[in-house]
Amino acid sequence: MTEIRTLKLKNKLGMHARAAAKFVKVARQFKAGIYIEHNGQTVDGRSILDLLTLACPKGGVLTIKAEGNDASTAIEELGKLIENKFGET
Amino acid sequence: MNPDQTKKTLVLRGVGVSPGVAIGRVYRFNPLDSQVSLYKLNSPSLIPGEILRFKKAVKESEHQLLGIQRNLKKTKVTEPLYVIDVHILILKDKKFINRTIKNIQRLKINAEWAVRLTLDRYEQIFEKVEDNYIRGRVSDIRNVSQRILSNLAGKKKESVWVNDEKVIVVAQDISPANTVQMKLDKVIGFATDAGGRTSHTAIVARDMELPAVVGLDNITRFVRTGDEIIVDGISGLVVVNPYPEMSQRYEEKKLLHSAARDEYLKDAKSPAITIDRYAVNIGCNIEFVEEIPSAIAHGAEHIGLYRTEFIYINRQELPTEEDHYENYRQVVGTKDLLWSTIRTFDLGGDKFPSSQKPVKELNPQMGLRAIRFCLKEVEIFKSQLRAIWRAGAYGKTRILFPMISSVEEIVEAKRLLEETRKELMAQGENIASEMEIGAMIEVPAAVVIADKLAREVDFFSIGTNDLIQYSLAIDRSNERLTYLYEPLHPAVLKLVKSVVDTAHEAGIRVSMCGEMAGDPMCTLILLGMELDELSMNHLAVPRIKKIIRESKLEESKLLLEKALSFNMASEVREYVQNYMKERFPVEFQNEND
Repeated sequence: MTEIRTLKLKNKLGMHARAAAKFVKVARQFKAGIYIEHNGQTVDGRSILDLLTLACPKGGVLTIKAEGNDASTAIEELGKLIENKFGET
Repeated sequence: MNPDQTKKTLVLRGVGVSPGVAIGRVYRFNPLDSQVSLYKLNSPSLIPGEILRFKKAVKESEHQLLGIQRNLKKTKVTEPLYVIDVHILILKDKKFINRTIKNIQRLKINAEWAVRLTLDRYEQIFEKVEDNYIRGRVSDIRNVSQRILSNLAGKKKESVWVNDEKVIVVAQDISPANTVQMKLDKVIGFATDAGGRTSHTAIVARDMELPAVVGLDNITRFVRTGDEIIVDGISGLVVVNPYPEMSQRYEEKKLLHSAARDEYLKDAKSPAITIDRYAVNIGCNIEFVEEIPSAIAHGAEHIGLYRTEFIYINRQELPTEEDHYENYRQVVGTKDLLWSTIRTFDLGGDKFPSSQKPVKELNPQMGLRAIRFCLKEVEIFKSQLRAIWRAGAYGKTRILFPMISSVEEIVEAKRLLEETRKELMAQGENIASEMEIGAMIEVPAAVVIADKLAREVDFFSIGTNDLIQYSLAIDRSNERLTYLYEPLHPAVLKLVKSVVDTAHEAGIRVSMCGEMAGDPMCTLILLGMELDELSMNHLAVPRIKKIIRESKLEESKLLLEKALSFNMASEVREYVQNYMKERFPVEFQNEND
């Protein structure tokens, strides 16, 4: 099963270290392979270093792809995290 | 007696930021450098063993970081806990690990070398990132790699901490995270290349009451672990490989200092009332709530300056009202304290909350900072004001606005304060029934219009550090100008005196919270001006109180009059110094050898 969703980053600093840490922590809870695409570059959603090198700023558009049995829940949870601006106020 | 006799004695000058004398051996703390050996493996059969070593070191590193995280949570310091999260995630990063393992396999090199290569690779990758912030994250990877490297090195590096000898930590600079890495109970002093009075090293040292000298520029180049060293936090000197007579002299000085301190502490709680019954209220300047117990132990009667910038720094997002409240609640209403003065944040210029994009200003000291910044960023300001109102419900709280230079600013700040009060009332929050409002007098313009400002506030607090910097036009960060920085400059004395006189004519109280307040050499001069309150570093309190108790207001007025009669700062300094040394021989004996 493959799920794809495209989202816009709304938190202040974009994909900064704290946000990336939260993302990776959530991504690791799933069996599905998670890949993030931004500006034509695709990286492993479980690798904090990969995510950081994307350097996705505020307002940047990310496409999340999840492959595996729990792909849809994974996309759901990761989408929520981004929608909620990574819990930042 | 001295095994280092053959080595050259070297004296280095820095800034003494925490008084006292420490004599001992150097521990070169260098989180970023290690003497790792890089080598090719002799035979491919060694590869699996090398990979195992690497994996073990990673596990060990993770273990340590989890431990640090636990400790930090306990201390409740507003530490960047998430940074450690990031480090742990880097350790667990498959890309990072696989890359290193592949390096070992393909290049047949030892684990240390492989980690270095991985780090080099990431340095290259991050260098290409345009975003400044992300590019800076390479420091996290460096930090993690360093930890792995030192774990690969095994116990060798930790040996200094394992054996029982107390050490003096010498480093380029010490960050909050570094202090967690150290066994602080084995540390008896600090000496660093970088830093000033407000650097983290200075704060930690004063908290722990350990002697420290910072701003030594390049001490790390001259010393090695195991060298004998003296840190004289009173005079800001560090002696490397002292010759025997010098060691002996310092041993005496050290004894004198601690004896004097015990003597002071004995009477620390007695009030500062002169022989002719003039009372000065003595307070402490603090930055962390953790400093309150030692403030009280040293005889502080109130908190005269609670700096709130730290709540903003070292965090990714702006602090919430609750973050503020949690801090203030711990200060306000502490038993044994008459009141707490909370100074609203002095950010902008060259200090920004991490969430704010720093603006490079050519002249940050005169930039958009303190009250100017607050009145521009009203929402940030108001969440602090709200928290102060709420904390004020639990004990007498005074609010102090920094860097006031006009009546407009104080009027606007008061308007916002009133606005937040009404909002909180409407929400039914439990808040202070009243709040004394103060203006920091640190801009020369404020001195000139002090009579007008006095109508708007309940008290003044003179910030001498900035007042001196602005009135003498000395950039305090410019080391070439330190010789001009003189609290006893006739202009400074006249300015301060005029503030005090104006305040008293208007019937309001005056406090002083700059460094001058805690400088015993200036105590009688300030007493002569009849300041109502002096607020200082806790270590200075017992000594200042003792000097006041042994003085007469009358004599201090005569001294002040005489001091004001001189034309030159050097004459004032000489006269006051001679007077004080003669008048209080015991108090000043430690300073003049």
